[in-house]
Amino acid sequence: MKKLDFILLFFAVMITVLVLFACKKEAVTYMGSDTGALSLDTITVPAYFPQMIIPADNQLTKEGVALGRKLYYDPILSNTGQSCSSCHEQSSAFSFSGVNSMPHMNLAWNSNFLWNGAVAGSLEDAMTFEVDVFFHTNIEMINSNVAYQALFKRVFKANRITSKQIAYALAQFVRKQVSYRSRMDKFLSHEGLLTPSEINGFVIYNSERGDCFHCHSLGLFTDNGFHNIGIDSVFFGANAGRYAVTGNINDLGKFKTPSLRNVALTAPYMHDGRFTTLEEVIDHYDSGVMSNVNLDPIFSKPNHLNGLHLSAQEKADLVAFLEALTDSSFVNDPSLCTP
Amino acid sequence: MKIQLPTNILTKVMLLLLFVQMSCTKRRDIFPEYADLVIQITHKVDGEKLIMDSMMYINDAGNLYEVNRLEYYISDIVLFSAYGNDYCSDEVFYINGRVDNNDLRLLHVPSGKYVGMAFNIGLSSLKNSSNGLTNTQENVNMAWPEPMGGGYHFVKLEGYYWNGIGKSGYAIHIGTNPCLIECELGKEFLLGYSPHELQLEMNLNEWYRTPNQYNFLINGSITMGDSIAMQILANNGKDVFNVKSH
Repeated sequence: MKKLDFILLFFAVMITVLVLFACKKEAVTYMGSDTGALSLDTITVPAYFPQMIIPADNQLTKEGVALGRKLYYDPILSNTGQSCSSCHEQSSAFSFSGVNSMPHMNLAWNSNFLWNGAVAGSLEDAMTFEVDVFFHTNIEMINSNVAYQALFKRVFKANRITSKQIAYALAQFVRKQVSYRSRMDKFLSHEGLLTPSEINGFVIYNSERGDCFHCHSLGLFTDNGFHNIGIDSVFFGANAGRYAVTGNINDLGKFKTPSLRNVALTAPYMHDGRFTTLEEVIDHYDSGVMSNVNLDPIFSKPNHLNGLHLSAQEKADLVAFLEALTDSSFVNDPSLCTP
Repeated sequence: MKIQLPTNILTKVMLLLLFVQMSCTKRRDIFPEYADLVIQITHKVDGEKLIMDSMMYINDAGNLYEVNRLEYYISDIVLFSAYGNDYCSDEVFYINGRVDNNDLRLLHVPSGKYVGMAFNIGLSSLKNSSNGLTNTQENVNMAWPEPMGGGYHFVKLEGYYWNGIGKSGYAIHIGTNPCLIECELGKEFLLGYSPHELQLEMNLNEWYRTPNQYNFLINGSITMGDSIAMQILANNGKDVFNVKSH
């Protein structure tokens, strides 16, 4: 691209984005309701986020969120000394490099959980899975804990703590793990600027040049769908993906689209952690896509199958843009750390 | 002097008035002023119900293909009244071909005789602006990138076709204002008692049929960014639907 063309496109994108987002309501606040004697809690997100659904039977309260937070960091949940935080560290946007866990971030908008979507439903359903199946939480142990007796009594009016209540408390806290204050978000809300390299990366991301947007939709930076992106040519065993859940041969090799928010903090990448850097990820999309029977149709574009042919500068710009999705406020938020 | 009406005449008049009142009431029960209209969307391929993920459909160009994704918007529905007072809906409906129930509901439509309908596949220029629709996950996923014009995808039709050697993917993505698809259908129906139902049936092969035959191998299998391909398909899209009533 000629230098003048790039400059013109840069300013065109800047002006377009700033004008469009200037005309919209800037934030939406979700508030708990009908919580009795408990204190209402709120979640505020940008207006360009999808709508959040908060179930009527698990409204947000400060007491409920605090209880969920305490449980999140408490090894009492398991019989192995592990807590949720053992595999979901705040500094890594609540992911963990050791086990390549998906980040606990913006899960309030998910309806499928885990790389193959094995757990479906609401956050409450996901946390029920964690309590009952993953941790096999010893409910009696929690019931015999004096501190939890008082907390559950206050939040759920429970004389006897159940696994459902534990899951619901966790869901309230996890629902609060919202990331929306990256440099990209600040740029959209006119609180900050992106560098020319980051803007060019945004253009590559959000156009046919890179074509990232089709799966990593703006806002949440995920479409919450499942795709086969050609990381292998055959898929079996742990690499079967969504097929392991649905048994549908058309789902072979499909995995959940992870959010790219805070992606610079959530290495390694892909369902099996095969890529350790963002550069390796981009190289895959640029020239490493492997043909297979379930390759997402988007990847059948001639430029995808034969490589995007991104220049070194374009790759660097794309990495710069992805790094601009880091939300320092989120990974340092004291309300989300160990109580 | 006081005039006293004969009671037998008075009685007859009262009975007549009562009869008239009852008749009017009965007519209102049969023909209310407003009614709800349910438009059922169905998807077929030359008469056969669309089955997703099944490589068994052939278009006029001879492309053997399957469908994995079918998503689109229907908006600005107009019902043409036989009496001149057309009904216009401002609603935008998102349709997902994988979902069994794609009923559109128009509430509180004036009763009466209608002779046809019109609607857009996609969004008019007034509606087709970024973040212009309610931010559901579906609408966010349909966003058309800012660098390419902004707004929303009008249609996403994806799947695989046989290229002679093996499977290739196709992604029919239609968007941008010049490619708005304006449909108009003639159909007489009487809307007078709730709920009334119409069936709007999409024949997917019509996307590749008239006025221009579309061949994946010649015209392209990926249309986003290809304004010529998008315009061909948008022109073909004007008659992908036909309407029936129950």
